[in-house]
Amino acid sequence: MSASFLRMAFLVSLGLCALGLLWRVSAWLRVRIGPDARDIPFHQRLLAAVRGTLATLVSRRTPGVLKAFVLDVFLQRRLFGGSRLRWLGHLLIVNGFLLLLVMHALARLVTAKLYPDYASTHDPWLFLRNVFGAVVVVGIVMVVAGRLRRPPSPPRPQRPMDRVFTALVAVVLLSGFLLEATKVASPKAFYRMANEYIGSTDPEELLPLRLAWATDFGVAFPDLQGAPDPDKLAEGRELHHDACASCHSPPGSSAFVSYPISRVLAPIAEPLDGIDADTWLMYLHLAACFLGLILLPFTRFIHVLADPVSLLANGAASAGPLSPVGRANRRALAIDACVDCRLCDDRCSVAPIARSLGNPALLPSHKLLATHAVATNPRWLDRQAGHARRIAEGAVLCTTCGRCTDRCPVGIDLADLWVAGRADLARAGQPSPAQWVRERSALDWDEALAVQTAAQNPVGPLSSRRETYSACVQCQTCTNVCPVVAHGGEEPGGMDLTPQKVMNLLRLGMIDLAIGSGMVWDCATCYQCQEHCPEGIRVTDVMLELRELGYRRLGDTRERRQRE
Amino acid sequence: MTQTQPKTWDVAVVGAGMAGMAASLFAAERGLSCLQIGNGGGLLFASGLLDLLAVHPVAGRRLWDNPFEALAMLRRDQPDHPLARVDDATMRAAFQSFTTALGAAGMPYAPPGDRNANVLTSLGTAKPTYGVPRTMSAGVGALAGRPPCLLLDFRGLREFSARQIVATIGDRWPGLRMARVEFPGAETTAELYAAHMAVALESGDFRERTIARVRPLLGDAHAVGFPAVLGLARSGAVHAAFEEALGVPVFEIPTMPTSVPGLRLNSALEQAVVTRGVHRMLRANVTSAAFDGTAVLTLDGVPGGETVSARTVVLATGRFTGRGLTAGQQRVTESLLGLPVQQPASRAAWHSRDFLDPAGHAVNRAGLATDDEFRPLESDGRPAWPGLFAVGSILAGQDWMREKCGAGLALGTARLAVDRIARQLGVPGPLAEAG
Amino acid sequence: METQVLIIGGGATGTALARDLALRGVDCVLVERDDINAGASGRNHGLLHSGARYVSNDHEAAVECRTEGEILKRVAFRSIQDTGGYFVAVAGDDEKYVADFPGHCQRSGIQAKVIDVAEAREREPAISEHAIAVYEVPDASVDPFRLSLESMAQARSLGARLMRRTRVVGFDRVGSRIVGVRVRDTVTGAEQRIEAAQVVNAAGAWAREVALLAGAPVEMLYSKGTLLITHGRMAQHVINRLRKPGNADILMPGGTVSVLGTTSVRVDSLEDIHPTVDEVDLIIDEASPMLPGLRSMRFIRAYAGVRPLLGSPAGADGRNVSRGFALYDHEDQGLSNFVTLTGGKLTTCRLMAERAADFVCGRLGVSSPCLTAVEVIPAAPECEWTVPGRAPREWMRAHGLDDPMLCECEMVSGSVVDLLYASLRSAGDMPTLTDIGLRSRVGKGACQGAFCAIRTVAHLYQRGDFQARRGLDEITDFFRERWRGQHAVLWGEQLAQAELMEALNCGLFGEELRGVAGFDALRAAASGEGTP
Repeated sequence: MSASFLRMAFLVSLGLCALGLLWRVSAWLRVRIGPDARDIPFHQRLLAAVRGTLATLVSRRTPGVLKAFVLDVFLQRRLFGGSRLRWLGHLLIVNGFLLLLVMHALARLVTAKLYPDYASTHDPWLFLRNVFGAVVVVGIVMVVAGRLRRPPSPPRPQRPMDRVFTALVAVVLLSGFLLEATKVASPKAFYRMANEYIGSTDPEELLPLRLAWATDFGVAFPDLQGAPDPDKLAEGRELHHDACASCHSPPGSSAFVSYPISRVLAPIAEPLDGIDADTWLMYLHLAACFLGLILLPFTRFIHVLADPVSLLANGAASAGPLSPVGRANRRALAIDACVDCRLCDDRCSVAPIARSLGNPALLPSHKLLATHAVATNPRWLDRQAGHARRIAEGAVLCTTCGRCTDRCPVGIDLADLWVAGRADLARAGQPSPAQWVRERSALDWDEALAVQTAAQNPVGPLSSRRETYSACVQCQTCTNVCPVVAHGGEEPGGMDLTPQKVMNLLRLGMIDLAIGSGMVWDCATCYQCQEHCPEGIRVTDVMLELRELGYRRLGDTRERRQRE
Repeated sequence: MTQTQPKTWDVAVVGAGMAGMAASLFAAERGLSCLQIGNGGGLLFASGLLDLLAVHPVAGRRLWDNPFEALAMLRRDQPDHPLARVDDATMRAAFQSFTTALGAAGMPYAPPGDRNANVLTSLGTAKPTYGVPRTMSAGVGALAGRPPCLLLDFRGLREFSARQIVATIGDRWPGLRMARVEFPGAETTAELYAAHMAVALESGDFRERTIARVRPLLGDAHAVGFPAVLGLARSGAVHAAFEEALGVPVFEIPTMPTSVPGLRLNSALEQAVVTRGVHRMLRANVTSAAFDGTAVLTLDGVPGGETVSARTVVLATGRFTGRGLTAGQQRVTESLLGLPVQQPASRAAWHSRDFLDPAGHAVNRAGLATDDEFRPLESDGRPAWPGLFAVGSILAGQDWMREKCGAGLALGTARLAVDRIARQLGVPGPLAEAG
Repeated sequence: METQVLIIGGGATGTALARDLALRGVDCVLVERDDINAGASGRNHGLLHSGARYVSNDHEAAVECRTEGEILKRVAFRSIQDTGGYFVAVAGDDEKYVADFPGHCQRSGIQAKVIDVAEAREREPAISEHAIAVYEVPDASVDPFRLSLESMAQARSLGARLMRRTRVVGFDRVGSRIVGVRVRDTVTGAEQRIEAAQVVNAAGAWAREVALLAGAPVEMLYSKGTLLITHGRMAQHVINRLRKPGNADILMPGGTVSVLGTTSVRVDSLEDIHPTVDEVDLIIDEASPMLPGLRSMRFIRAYAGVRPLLGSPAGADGRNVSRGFALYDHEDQGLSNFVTLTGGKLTTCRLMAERAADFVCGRLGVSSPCLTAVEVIPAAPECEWTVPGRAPREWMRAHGLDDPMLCECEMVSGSVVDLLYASLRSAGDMPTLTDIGLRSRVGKGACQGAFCAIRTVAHLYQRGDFQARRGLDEITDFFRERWRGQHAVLWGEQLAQAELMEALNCGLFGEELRGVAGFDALRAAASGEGTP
């Protein structure tokens, strides 16, 4: 394959990648999430982005932001607080891959410029390449082990491109090591080099050099068996020293990954040569690299780029509230900045309810995808055959406690996204139940639910258990600390049931009446009641479960009515 | 706040009711490093009144004007009563530092003296007590002198009817009048909650509007009584503002749980112990304890699960409502450590068939038997562990509800136990009160 | 006062009789020394027997229950919840009894359908995993208070008169006739004389005393039965133990709670009937093999009633004595216008009333037929508040500006209390807190009145219904009454609840100190003198 073709392919891939990137990055200024983002034109958002970036970069905060950038990107600081295994794995993958990219893939542009005597087969480069590759592999193993060790979480829908790209990365690493191993063992490669640098391909003439390479470099010459003649070997080593040593280091110790592989391949080195395995592996390696380059902008690995930007935005937001334009940009960026680490899921207040009721759509990692999808494609929800409401529940049942935002390692303001996404959901045909539940009275709902079968009225594991309330001594503390009750008194007809009344209705087995009450849907989920309860009753958790159940039961009822 | 946490605490207090708070406060005042574990649910049920001892013997329903005379009689009649083990000086010191600390935390009390006070309740009864919050103290004088007074209530505060009080005692207090006012902003709601009213009255606007509705009703009243809703965190200021605007003494009348004075007490005590350096683990529960050279307590409810070690432990976990004692179907057990519980022979003897039996219910006297230092005893009569103390209502041999001695029991036993702890740990005598 | 028939006793039988007579156009007066269903009529399971319980030992009673149950399900449908019932045998129960059960049911005409044990447990998870056989029968639950209150309301709408808190203190006899019955108002002490052509003694367990007062002794036995109320409803169906009738065989769904019982202990006296700790423990021990969840259940209350049984005192306990009823005409004792109607069970109260009315009408020469089996008992607005869950639903429906919730546990609001108060007042009564409790769910929830009694009294003062020190008296009476049913079930969470109640009512309000002498004048005033 000619170098010019390679260069051509590389440049084309690079160009496509750049176009893709441009498209993806422009989405950070195009995607509109939330009603306040709806009417902001592109140029204003561009301006705000440029201004914001500049302002952040040249402000007194720059050192801080840079430090955060270094700590967050290279040291994965925000992952440090979670699982150490995951943090270390991620650290190894990112930095290993970056080093491979700079030293190996961009050798001609970077390494060779800095070190004129650069040769990929000479130490330290050979050794380092193996080190970096191994580092990435170890990192991947750690992350996979970390995922396996975690309690199984419901699978999140993935973009197909992510799978393809993950496969490509695996192909690049695997083909790289195999290519190196094949070349080590390949007599054909030896003859090609000998022809080029010594001008001979005669096996007999090259015997001393072959002996040296077979012994020191592991080339698998089929005719050289048994102990070599010491004189010939010494002669060959001398020749090697003169002709080859400047470019080749012995791989036995340097290529500590690919050399052992080459020992495995040695017995079949001849047949491999027969099919030009090394050439094909190189094509594969390069093709995977180029394809990966082209696809990169369309995978979630765009986060490599998006994360620093997100962190910059986060840094800017920490200085004061962002403008509506800034918020719009930040929301649009979120989907690309997400690294799918699921730390948000672990911290989510609603997660226990999501688990007990088996609706993963309540989890932040799922909600992020849904929120973005709804914003970019209004008909996306319609296509989620029957699951639309369960998906929409996520944004609605959120307590906006902000724990997800606090935990996000890449600084996405998730809580802001959920609030913004509610309006988009309403536009997509899934209005907040706080609106439509009130179209009817609690009593109406009660009557509607009463005629339905048990299967149509699912119950919750917490709210339906007698034991949940059995410790209640009717002291009214929950009601007395409730901010919703405190404010409800100021609006005529604002309050119907107090938290204590909700608990009592449930204890009386009248969940149908409780579920459509204003209190359930007004609850600020501030957890004051639960934290103050002297008897340890999980008042807020019950409220959350009622909402989730209500969303399903009342929503089904409503849809049924609309159909009829 | 940036104090370092010692590896081994001098004292670990388990429980955050009145006794747990008192023990933490006294320990901190002694300069002991103190860890407090548990939430203050029990205090939510408090009325704000601090009883010392008013009835003895219970069966004879004898009321005492002087609590210290009652204590002296109690020591003679029931030497095993926990209060009989607390001398007068310790008791006075306990009330002195406790009310001083509460005053500094925004809940001032009338200075404790030698006499019990009678406080008018929402049922029209007169409760004998000892420590009276400033917001209620004008009512003590009014009840004693019975000048013309006005009692006010708010429509919607369901548990409090001024008309009921006037009807109940009006024949003996001819100048007592009542009036009902609408709480500002709540004209359309059927139910009001004391805590929300108290918070609302901390805003000048609500206060002004309320006062404007009350002022025309004053007439010849020498004092005005309200349900206990005059402010939560800033009750002192709210109460003063009412007195100033109305120009007569204003007093609060205690209400049912969850009462505002109980909430005030809870937050004032929290503030008092935290500012004195007590480290609190509110959400934690002690699940088990091991005693060796030090006590090692295993906690849950804290991230990751944790153990803490302490040189001494004060058990202030309360009775059944506080969950310090667990009543099984046949036996009462101590919930945390399984300490022996002194109790009636069988459940049949736990309760009288008459709720208001003058002798009270035997189960209320069940609890932990201790030595004179309030160290709970094993069944062989020896302390369970030299550094383990039990204080407050978990102790056997008392009936705080009938004897009207809840706070006296909590404060007196906590004070004495902390004195003994300080001696055990080699800390010199009581430090001067911090004020 | 004059009337055609004087009925003594306002239980299920007396009220059913008043309704029966009123429907026939016969004028009657009902005197009750306490309140409607104050005796055994208000202290039972509330089970509308399908009859299956009696198939093995009392074929006649079984058939009677079956037919009467069917009638009541029609005419008193408002008081009845057609829950259906299960008969459950567990490992170790008498297998012969189990095997014979369907045949016995068939002979009595009672539908008993075999149910797969696993399916039964799926529908009623409270049933033990050791269940070996389950049959479904048409048992139902009946609210005895609503039944009696509505029967009485209908009777009153047709002219019958009710005198509560009125005790019979003497009979004026001339020859074989009772010409006057002297009664005393138990509140005011005022006495009056009622002249009636016929007198029916339907005083339940007290029938012997009343008959004795009339100079006509009857032979009766007393069997005390204790029942427990759970915190929350354990099951949807009536769950019976499939064995020879014994202790703690029945778990009844009673609206929002379950009722478990009963025991049967022969007692000689009607004084001081209350559930004991031993009875409570026995019930739990006996029922746990069928319902293991009872071991960790919170019980909020126990109560004991006395069944009046007929027969000789030879049986070891009351269960073998007939539960059938008897109508004594006392003619052999020289009385010509006095009958005693006693025995029986809740399910057959209508039939008892019909027989007694037939007999009395025969003596009066009235020929109108009995209508109680065909006329549906009409709804009465003051009679529907004993139904659990009714009050919150109505409150939600009419959530008014000024309708505060007085009882939070059972969610009874001020408007319900007002309605009940007004209805009792219109009958000329002075309603008490206990009266309101009997006609509603006030005080019946987990707190057993600790909070709601105080709110309700404050509410009644505010409305001007209560004056002077009455509220304090009512509160202490109410708590004493509630406590009689509580003290035997106080452990676990319910003990914590009771402790809070005592902390409030004794610790803060000092109710136990009322009437203490030697204290200042105000205290005497505040506490009500002379009522220790």
